[in-house]
Amino acid sequence: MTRSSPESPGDDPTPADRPDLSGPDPGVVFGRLFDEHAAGLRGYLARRVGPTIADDLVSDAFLTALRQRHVYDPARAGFRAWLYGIASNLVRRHVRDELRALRATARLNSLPAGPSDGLAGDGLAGAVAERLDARARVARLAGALAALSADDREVLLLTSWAGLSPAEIAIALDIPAGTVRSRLHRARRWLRANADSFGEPSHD
Amino acid sequence: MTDDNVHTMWTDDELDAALSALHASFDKPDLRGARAALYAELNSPPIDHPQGTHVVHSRRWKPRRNWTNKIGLNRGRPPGREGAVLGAVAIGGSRRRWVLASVVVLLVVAGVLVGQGLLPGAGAPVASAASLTLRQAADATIHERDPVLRPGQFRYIRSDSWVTDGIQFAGAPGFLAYRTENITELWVPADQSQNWMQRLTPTGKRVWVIGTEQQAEAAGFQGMGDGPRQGVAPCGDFYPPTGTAPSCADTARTAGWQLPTPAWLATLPTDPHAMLERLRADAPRNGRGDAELVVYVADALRSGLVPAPVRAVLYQALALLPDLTITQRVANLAGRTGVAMGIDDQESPTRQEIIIDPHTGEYIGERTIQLKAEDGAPAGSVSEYSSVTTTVVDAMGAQH
Repeated sequence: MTRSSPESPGDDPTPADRPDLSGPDPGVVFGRLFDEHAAGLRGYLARRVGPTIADDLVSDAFLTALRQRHVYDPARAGFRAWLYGIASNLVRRHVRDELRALRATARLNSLPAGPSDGLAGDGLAGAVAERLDARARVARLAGALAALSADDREVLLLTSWAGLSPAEIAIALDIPAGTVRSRLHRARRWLRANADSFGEPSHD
Repeated sequence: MTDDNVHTMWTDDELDAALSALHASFDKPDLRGARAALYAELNSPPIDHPQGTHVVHSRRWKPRRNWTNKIGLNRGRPPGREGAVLGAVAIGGSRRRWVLASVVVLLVVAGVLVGQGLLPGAGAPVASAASLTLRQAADATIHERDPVLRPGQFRYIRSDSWVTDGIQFAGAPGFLAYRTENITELWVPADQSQNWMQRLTPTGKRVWVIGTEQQAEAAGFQGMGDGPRQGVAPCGDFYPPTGTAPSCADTARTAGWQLPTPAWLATLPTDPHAMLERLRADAPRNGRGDAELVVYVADALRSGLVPAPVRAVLYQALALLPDLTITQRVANLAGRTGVAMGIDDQESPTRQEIIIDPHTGEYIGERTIQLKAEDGAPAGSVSEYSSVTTTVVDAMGAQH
């Protein structure tokens, strides 16, 4: 047997992201996959649905991956794309939480900056103004994201927050790569044009 | 508060800047619950208990991770690497993170240690002494000769450990937890292609950390129901793929840091720096920093199958690590004293340590130190403990 330990990707003809999960002994490979992907997945999910739900979803996603490992085909999908696909299915059950969080951010961040938000250094006034501007923009983006269609939002955030490529997102969401790109393009264009109008913390 | 009536089109840069700032600052992730849940699933299929009671097998305390990996008792990366937290349990779709303190560990271990007047921390950790001690241990190891097995004899590796388990159920108080003792034994034949034997024996000893036996019975808990489990297979391949015979070939499944076979051991470098590089290459790059390297060394040592020359190089490699912390005069669960050394985990406020006998270089156990008060365990307390002994016996199943 050649030594192709998954923990030494250097000698491994199979890319580390395409593990063989079909063996009877998934422990070693899943331990490695957890260590590689859990923190990133948790970070992504926390930004979408908040840290508490994210903790549960990370756990659910890995348990689901473990239980469904026999349907995973390394020839077809990288593990990361597959895992984020599982996670995306889980996130969909929490759309209301996601929207609530986005609207809360839209309200909170559009409040005036507190005294601690001042920046030290040269051009203090300009820096503060810039900072306020950036805060306002984040608040508007949050409001606008909540107004985006769930499908477009998902593609955008998988790209921007999870760092997945269009090809990976296509696998994760089981849609054609062309669809991914068009959703991404549409979402970005719409946000650029409309996000600025979501600044006012008017409605609950 | 903004009163813009004119809404401008954002640039791509403005959009990207806002995207990268939005919801960007969250707390440092605590993945131990999720990891423990994964390991619980890997280790044991869910057991249905009456009245919605579920038993969680944390197996955090099972120290024989590598050979139990091999024999299927504790597949996967060891749960004991994590902090003093038990896993997550799913009941009716709801999931709660178990934050089981090291309270039980303290009860049990403190009892042992206080009884011997050897409380951990009796010797203050001294980082600078670590490499010296390790080099001494390495020297001792080099001079140590592994017992040579005569044909027909067996290496007998026994570990005593405490496993934290929890049960969760509907209704108050919702969850209970206890620690229970396990003995794991492995017999390795002189000729490793011959039959090995493994046995896991739950002793039935139980200490409740959260709740009482009465509460558990009222909730429908009927004990783990696990009797001793035993298996025999050549090359220690107790659980070959379904439909295939046990294999003596080295594959990623059957050989590695967690499964140090003779052929795999032969691939390890003999130079300490090269060994450290090999460790860094093989250990996963995660948030734990160099603590992960100590864990990998512990995985290999725990098997009882790493020969003295390789142990010596491993100690020398660890001695190269700048942040190694050493604590002198530490007792293991069986009462033997040794030197504990480990590296603070970058991910959780713990330090997992290996305990070695500095005079012989022998690995005699492990422990985890709580660096910060967490989940009821005070800072500086020992939150995990185990002991390991390796001897030579004349027959498979013989204990001495």
